[in-house]
Amino acid sequence: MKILEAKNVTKIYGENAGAVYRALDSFDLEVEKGEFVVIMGPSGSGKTTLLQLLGTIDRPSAGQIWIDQEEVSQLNENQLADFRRKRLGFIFQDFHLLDALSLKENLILPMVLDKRPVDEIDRRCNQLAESLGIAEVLHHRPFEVSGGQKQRTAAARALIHRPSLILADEPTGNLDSKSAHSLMESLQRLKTKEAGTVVMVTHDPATASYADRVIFIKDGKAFQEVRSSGDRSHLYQQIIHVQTVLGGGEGIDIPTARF
Amino acid sequence: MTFQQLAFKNIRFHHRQYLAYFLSCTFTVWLFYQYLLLLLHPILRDETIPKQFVAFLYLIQGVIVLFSILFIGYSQSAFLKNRKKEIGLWQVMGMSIKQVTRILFWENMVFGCVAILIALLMGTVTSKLFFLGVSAVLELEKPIPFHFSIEAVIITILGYLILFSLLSYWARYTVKKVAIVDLFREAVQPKKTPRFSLWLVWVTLLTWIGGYILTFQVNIETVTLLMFPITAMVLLGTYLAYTQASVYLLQRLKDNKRISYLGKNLILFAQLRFRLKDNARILFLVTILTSIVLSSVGISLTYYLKANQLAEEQAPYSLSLINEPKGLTSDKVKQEIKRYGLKLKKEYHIPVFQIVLAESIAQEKKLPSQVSVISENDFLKFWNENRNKKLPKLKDGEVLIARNGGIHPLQQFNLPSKSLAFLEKKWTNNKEVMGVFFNENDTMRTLLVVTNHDFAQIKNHIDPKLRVMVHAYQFDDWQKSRTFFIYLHTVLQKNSITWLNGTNEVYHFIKQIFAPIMFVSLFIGFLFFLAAGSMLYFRLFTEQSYDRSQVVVLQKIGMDQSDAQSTITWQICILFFVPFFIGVCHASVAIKVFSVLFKEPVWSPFIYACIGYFVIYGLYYIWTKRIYVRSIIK
Repeated sequence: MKILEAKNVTKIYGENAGAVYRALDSFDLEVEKGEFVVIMGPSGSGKTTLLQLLGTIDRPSAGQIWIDQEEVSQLNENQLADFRRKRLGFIFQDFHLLDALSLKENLILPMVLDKRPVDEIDRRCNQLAESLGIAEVLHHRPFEVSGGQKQRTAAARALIHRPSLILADEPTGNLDSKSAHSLMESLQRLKTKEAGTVVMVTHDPATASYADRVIFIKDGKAFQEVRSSGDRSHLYQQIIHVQTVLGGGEGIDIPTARF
Repeated sequence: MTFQQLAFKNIRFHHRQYLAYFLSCTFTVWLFYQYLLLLLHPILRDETIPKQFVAFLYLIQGVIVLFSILFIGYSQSAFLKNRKKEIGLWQVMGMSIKQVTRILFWENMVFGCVAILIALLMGTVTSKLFFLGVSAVLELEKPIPFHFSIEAVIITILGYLILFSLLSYWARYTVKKVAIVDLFREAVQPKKTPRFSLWLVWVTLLTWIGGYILTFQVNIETVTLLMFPITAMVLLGTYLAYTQASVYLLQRLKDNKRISYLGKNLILFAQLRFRLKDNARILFLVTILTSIVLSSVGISLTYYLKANQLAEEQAPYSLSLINEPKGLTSDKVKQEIKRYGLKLKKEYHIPVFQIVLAESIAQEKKLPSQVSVISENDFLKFWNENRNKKLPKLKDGEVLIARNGGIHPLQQFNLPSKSLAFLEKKWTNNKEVMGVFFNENDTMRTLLVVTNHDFAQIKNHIDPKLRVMVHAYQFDDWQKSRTFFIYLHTVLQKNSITWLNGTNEVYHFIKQIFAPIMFVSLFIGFLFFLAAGSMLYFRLFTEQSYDRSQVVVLQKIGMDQSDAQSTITWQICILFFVPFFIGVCHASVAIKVFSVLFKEPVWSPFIYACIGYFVIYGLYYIWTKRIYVRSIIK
């Protein structure tokens, strides 16, 4: 079953300002239920724009997007808010946890917003905290815990309401390699267990190697696609290879940790 | 967890940022309640409270309401902008704008209720003091008694609850503008280097200094004419100073390696360039608010505190009468003076001639159409009263024009126009003096001083009916003569300075005008001041995350914490005090312009006002600095 289908999606910036910039150009994408898709590409290739469009944060200039059989470009603001609350989960590079709330409160926020029954919320929270290894720090505030713990909380927040689609924007960008590894491990495990679908944008080949499928984009267009054979190190080699080709000798997109 | 709980947690977490907003709201509500208590006080229906004062009370109340709406609205939108990341996140997680607004509504409600409660408690306690203050300013014999009015409480609570809910509703427009797209982008986008144009730096200097120089040209006649250009020039100069000259100055400082390569100066100058230019509009506003507050408080304080000095300058004689209206002969007047327990020090009875000039002559000699002729000897009596300067000596046939200052509109003498032989002549050496020689009245407004010989000549030619006797009396203490003047008013039945004037009359007149004005400007001034401080406070917090990372970077490259901290406290200090000192400069110029009625500007009340506000402002600064630094270095 297709969870996500994007057809002919185009995004043009600065149409009124004069300096027209085509961030995405007739882009097509299909994602099956339970799939883990990673989008890679150099800076400015349109990865983040694509994620914004898929996340209904921004509207495409042309083309359609279906998520869960719903054409999201047809929804109005209020319907979109409702849609995001029920069907989407987000993980950001710099976590975006609310400092005013404890980790637990951050974690359960999507279910609270959806007004779900208290015991269901608690059950779900404990279950996720357990499997992500953050049960001990749940009562702490975000600025009291490590980056890895923050990001695992953010991942739990994205998963807690069992969304149809989880969108992750460079989730390991602010983490050290050990935390990144453990985050990706848990994410993959949970995804399989809960039959979730993930679309993730990243720079890091190691993070990307957890995917079922890696799509490379360049200048707003699909460039190449690599499928996993089930072997992580093989996929990693393939990603490195495509990146070398993609760089084409100039401006090679070296994985960088941003801070 | 409900929306109410979420709101409550937010308040608890953001209490530092909320604090300035909270205090300003509490103060505004307190002030509103205080004035409302006075407005609803039964004593206002009494005769003892002057009508102007009640009118002023309504005016203040209006200003407070307007201020509440603008200020609370502004603070809220500034506050929301500081929290845009959080609001964006709520929306990404599927909160609709309606729900976001609802959280903000609960936040506003919780904290509005607390602010109102504290303000009401505080207001009820302080109202006694407030009433005492009002009684003192109005010089009431019996102080206004304490009065609690449940109506005032209800109006305050309802009014402000409605205001808070309306503003929360209005917050949805700010929320809509918060772009959630920003969550995906780099949080801090690099800023462009501020630029300046050398040409505009020159314009700054020219307009600013030009405006100040113009104020030296101000006298009582030109004050209305020059006020507008001076204000416009100074305003333009100030604005450009923040946007252009500040950047220029810091650039020069930065280029001077001997100064800029001195420890943290390099960082300080570089950051200040951004700070000042980014905040130019706020700094400009704060400067203007400070100037307005300090000059209005300074002026009204000067006129209120120095009313006796001004009265003595404007009306040198304790009592002046023209002719003997209603049988008030000089004997009768002296008798009454004694009866009212006043001691007579000096008296003058001087004859003058009232003359209405033909239009052509008045124009030729640049005189008003009605003048009075006085002899040199008599005029010298007035002149020598409080001056060291010698009067220019007159020869026979010469005329000295003495213009006696005055602000009341002139009443025309009901006389046919008259020409005198000496007026027809060409005046070769046209001498003129200006100043206050006598209590203001229509007869003595413009005097033509002639030699004693000429005066005797005129006397022989002129209709004796035009002769007017001017009586002036000096008491040992004019301040005690209020009841005497009230008596004179009842005798004369007409309160007109055509006949009667005196130091106490002028004093009473000034007090009546400036007591309520001072009252208004003191409180409104305080309100404005608080607003100015709070604006800076909010502006600071918009840079919080940037400053925080800055301090971290500085510490990483080996600066110790107190040094890294001081680069920020210096910036806060400059942000606070540059507008204050420029405001003081502007205000002192304004004081100079507006003290034209005095012989020379009186500075002491203005200096008191400045010191007073400096202390308040300084406390606000210390408080802001502490909270901000604490929020940066966790």
